[in-house]
Amino acid sequence: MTDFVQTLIDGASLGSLYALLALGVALVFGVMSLVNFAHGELLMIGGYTFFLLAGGLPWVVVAVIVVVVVALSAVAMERVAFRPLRRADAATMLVAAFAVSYLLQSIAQFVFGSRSKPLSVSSFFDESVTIAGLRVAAADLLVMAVTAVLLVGLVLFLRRSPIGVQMRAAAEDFQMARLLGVRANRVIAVAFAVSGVFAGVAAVLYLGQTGLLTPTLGLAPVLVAFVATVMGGMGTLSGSALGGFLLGFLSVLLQRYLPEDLRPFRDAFVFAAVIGVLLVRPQGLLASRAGVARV
Amino acid sequence: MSNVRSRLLERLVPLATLAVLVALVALAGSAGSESFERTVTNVLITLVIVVGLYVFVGNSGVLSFGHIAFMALGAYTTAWLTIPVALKEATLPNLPGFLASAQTSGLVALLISGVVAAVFAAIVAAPITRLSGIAAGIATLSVLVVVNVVLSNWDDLTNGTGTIVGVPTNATIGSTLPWALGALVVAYLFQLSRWGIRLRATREDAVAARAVGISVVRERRRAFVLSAFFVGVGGSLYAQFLGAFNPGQFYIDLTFLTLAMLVVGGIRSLSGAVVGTLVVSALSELLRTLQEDGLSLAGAHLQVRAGLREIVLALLMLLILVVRPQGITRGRELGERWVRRLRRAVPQVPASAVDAAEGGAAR
Repeated sequence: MTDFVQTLIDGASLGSLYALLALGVALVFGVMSLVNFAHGELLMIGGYTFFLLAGGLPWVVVAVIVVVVVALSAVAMERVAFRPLRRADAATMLVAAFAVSYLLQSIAQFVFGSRSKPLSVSSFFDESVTIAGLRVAAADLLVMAVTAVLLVGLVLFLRRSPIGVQMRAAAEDFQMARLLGVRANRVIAVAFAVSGVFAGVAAVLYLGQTGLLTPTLGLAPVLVAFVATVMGGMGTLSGSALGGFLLGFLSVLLQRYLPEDLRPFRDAFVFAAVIGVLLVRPQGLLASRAGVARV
Repeated sequence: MSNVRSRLLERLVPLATLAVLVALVALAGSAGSESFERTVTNVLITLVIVVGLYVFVGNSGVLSFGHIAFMALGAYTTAWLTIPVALKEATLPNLPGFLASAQTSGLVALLISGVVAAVFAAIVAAPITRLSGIAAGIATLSVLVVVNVVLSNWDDLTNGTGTIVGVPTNATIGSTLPWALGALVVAYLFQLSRWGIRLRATREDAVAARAVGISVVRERRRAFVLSAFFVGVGGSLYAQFLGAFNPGQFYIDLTFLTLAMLVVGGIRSLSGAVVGTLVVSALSELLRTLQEDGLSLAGAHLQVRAGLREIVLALLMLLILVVRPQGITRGRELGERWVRRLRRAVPQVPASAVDAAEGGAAR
């Protein structure tokens, strides 16, 4: 029983991280229909920023600076690479995002080398507390707490602030929103900034646990984020968060209960399950069917 | 009668243009140094893959991130069939009996590789062709991840993430050119065929296509399988070109590179696939030369620092996309405009025929 609860906590922790990543991707997709492949490189930028600043300042301060830097990078990315392509079709934007991702990876490789560097975010991540006979890693608690705060913050932002309301309008019908006076550039820039904040936070939490910096570290998380976003319901934020949590739980449960010799194939099972979900619900778990054109 | 014949010939102008272009590249390659010859062989193999990718992506408008999985299957199938038996016993001792004792020529292995990729595609087509847009993209991406995870961990068959060695390297310009030209011909005939036209109709408007009785799933499946065959063949050629490879080579990087070639050239035309492959390969090769040897021009010596090549290549691709979001060819076939100009100069063609032909070629 304790064992099972332990597994659930692991799943919730990993799921929280995936949800943060998926929300970052979904925020941008919502307003711009852009699948931002370079979202993973925002994590990478966060990691190397942390690496450069670590040492002098308390780690929480460094983490805040990292989040700001990543958010600014996200806004800059949109301004330089994606704004000129806003009218292009999905394939072009996607390949542009791929190119941005490749560009940033190459720059990181050029500046820092391709060898992996150890990064110790804080010794806090290695500690654990005992609650009712359960040893819970401090990192897991931190991830879950931070995710909860960010989710509540995002909901408040989208419902209460004027720009948040405009973002929701733009996600629903961009043309209509513009006709009603929503400024496209501003809404898109804010979407990228918020997406960057999520990426920055995810970077600190992710690297706090893995502790390894490489120029390509963003690839694995961004794949998970895409899949979670689409599985949950492309463009709906609640769907993306749900998709993230589901993938996290699924990964942890498979890791725990799959027979020993099948365990290396865990990700194959996870991604096969994704194909299965899409087959039953092509629009994702939480998307309405209203938007589908019919004969 | 002569009118019909001349219109048929006109339709073949783009194909002939592309074939001549590719043949010229091959000719230049075989006249060059040994290393240049290898470069051109590699370009021709890439061409087979990108044209294969185009057959599905270009005609259906559905993005696929999964085609490199077919390439991986083709490459590994070729490895199992062509590595000398003695070497297989040493490096892959746990290979199942029929694979351990199999020994075929490169050509037979190549055909089997294409068929294996096509059969696998026919199986995964069932879920994928039902999806559109971003869901299809993610489903194909999932196929890529699944195949990569399986190849990376099935140690008995693939040596895990390690390198598989000993594929006889007999891919030359001479042996790859026929496949590059063959892929071009089949892809072009496919897009002119009624299957191709139906599939393009689903690309333009899936709902309208269904309304006139086109089965979106069936048309997509056909193109998907045909496209996988060529990508599998490309994988086999690649294996016979490299001799040794590992699963990591058939993953996101190559997926990105091949899709980028297609989009840079223009995703909606076969010429786009060819031009994109040639332009991106040429840029990449030019930068490699600059990085390794430098270029002396009028006394100035230009040399690119190691590692800058990738940065410049990514910037150039972004630049092309920003300047030409529709790709270099803007979705037109090469020679199309020339034919139209010629036709205007010859007034006896009835206007209605011109309209029909232009309507079909406008996209």
